[in-house]
Amino acid sequence: MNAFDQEKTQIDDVDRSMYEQKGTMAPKFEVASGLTPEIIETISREKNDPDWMREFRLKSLETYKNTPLPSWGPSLDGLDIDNIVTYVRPDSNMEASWDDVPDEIKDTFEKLGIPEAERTSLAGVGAQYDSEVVYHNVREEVAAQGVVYTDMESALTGEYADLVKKHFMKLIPPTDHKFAALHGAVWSGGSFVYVPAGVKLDIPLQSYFRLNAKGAGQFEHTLIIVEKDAYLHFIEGCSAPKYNVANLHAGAVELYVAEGARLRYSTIENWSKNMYNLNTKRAVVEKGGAIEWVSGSFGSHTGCLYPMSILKGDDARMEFTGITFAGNGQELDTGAKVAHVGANTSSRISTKSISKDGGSSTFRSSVTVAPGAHGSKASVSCESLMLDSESRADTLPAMDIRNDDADIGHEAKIGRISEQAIFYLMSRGLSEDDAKAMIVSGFAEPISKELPLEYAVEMNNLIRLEMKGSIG
Amino acid sequence: MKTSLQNINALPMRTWRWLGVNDTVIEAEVPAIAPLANLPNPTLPTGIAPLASLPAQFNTIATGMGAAAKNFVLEHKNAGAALHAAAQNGSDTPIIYAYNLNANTPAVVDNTEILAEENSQIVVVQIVTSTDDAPVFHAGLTRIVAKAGASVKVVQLQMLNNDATHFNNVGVWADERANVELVQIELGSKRALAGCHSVLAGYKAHMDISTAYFGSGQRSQDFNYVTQHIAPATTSEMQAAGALFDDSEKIYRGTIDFVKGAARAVGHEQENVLLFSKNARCRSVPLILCGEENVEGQHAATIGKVDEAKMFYLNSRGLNEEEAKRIMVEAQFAPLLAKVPLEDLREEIAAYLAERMQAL
Repeated sequence: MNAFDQEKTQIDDVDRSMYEQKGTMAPKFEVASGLTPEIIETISREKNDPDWMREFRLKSLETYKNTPLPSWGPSLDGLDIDNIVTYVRPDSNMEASWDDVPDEIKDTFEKLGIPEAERTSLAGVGAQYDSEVVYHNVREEVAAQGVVYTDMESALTGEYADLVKKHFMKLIPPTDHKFAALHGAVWSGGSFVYVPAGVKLDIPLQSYFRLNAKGAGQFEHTLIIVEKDAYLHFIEGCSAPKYNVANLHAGAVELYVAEGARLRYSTIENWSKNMYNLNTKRAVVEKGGAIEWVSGSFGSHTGCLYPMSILKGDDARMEFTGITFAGNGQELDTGAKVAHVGANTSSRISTKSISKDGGSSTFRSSVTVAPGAHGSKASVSCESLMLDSESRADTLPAMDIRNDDADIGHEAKIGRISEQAIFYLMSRGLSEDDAKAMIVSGFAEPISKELPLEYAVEMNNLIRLEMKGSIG
Repeated sequence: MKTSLQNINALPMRTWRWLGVNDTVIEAEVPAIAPLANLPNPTLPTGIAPLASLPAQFNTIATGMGAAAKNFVLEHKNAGAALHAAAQNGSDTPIIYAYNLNANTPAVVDNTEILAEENSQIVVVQIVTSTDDAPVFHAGLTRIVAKAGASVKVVQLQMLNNDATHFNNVGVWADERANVELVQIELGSKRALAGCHSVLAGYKAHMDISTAYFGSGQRSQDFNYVTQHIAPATTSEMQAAGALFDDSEKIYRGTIDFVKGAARAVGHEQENVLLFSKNARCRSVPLILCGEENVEGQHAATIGKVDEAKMFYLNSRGLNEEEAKRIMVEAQFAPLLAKVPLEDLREEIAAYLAERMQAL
């Protein structure tokens, strides 16, 4: 019991050393902080944008300026866009071999375990450092099937330029909300994936986003097209070292799932706790297709993330499995949105949230069923766990049903760890902290079992780390 | 009088604007609010008397529909009652206030205050009906203070015509072991709104809210309930049963708010909606807000059409579709209607429902 007792001494913050390494290498280029047409022009020039993209950026900037901040959700008072550097180009080109990536950047990704994972369990990897992708590679046998996995900049000017132009910010137009407009103006980096009809990738692709620069923003754009009857599992990871000034992440993820296709999109978000994570993700699913979201939110100071699924085709399906862990100083507002448009569409949203040490988690969702979505089924289930009374857990689901031939169920629960369960585990020799950590891991199990093994392990480690920060 | 009341039925925590559920407005052409000729004057049971002077506490009570709805009633009231149940006294005999609206009495604005002293008991029934098709307007404000151990039950029954605008706005303060029950049967009106904000301020205070709503034609119904658990071991129940036909629409907002310190509080919320029309619109927003670890909160909603197997069974028993639907709707409302005191009243409601079902 001694070892456990020692471990129980209070730890103020979790051990994030593997995420905390701050790169010291000077960037090759960065713009001044703030937002002006000149800055946008500079970014556009630096990135060799086609003309339409430069105009798109400038128009988005206008939209950004004319769009008010949301009237709901967490406070964004700590975020001053005039102090955010929107574009930081690292001193590196995009490489297809880790040996060509500058040592310091490579070292960061090594510590995060990305090249290792690539060797063992991934079909391809993209790695972004600040505003630009520094590494992109896809296994030969995957490329041979016609799968395209590249950075957005290459896609924008390469042979898929028309495809990109046709889909870019069509699902998430800059007019959607203020930070979508900001994204449209300053986006940089991200991945483009194209899976041809009938191709089923049985091992996942992963993009990892690392924001190293202090006081900067990351605005990567992910565009994935999964053609008819194809299958893809895409994993997105993100982290940043902690600074004492606000950083901003306003990425956009647009997913097009064609007829009969299936896309699984998994994220373990672990931004540092000075990050404003205002990310937008949206999928449109055609007839008989399926989108599956697995979403873990652990990091960030303030987070707003509600992946949306538009079930456009008949018989389209969506599943959302999410976990949010809000610790000290964090305000995480997460959830999901689904729009049933086609007939016989079905959706299932299932989330867990944990609040601890003054952290605040909000589950927010919307389920809309359009008049034509006959025979649709939707179920929402959200469960919150409060670990102390300094924290907050709020649940804010909404349903809008415009069709009588629908079957809608909703369930929400809030509660605490049962004292009996803790007592039992302690009687079996566990410390109170370990008992609680074990119970929380059990609470999160429905999510971890949706993840590939390595990521489930990473998630459980994150939970353990967060739990150790508790006052025993 | 053109009236516009803003920020009505506001959610305690806002969400996406495009859902249109954060709050609502009441835009109404209110007929002249004249003094009423025949004010109801029920005999008060033993232990209950008119309230001599209003304690200042009533001014601080929050209401479910918000300040604009409350102030409108205070400014324009032409009816109502102030009741006082004496400590260790009172009665479960319902005190009935019935208002009949028509072309001659097109506007009733009633303000009701109920002060239930320690361990007292009081039951109040408020009924609004209409006898013709004239455009009528009813606005109600009911504020309740239930002292330790008091038991208060308020039943509000609304069966106005198709051209009515109506709202019932309620605020509750409950002290230790007080038990407050609110039953809102909202069946009529073109536009009907109701709300209740309750504060469970004393140890083991209990709040029970039941809502039945029936939408047909172009009706729009809008509800907002907030139950705030402040004291330890407080408990609350929120139940709603609804049926929507034709082009009707409704928004139901129900919030259980566990404030830090409300240890061992328990709150449940359940809404069941039957949809009978592809043009009806049903919005539900069930919130749980929580700042206390040691609580148990739960909400659930089921929204959908009538179970086909049940319909088939009823048809196989020789009932046509209309009759089968009527039985389903009656079954939907039965548990809530059982909370209405007085057999006569329950029969009146059943008759009204049958008539409305007939008109579909």
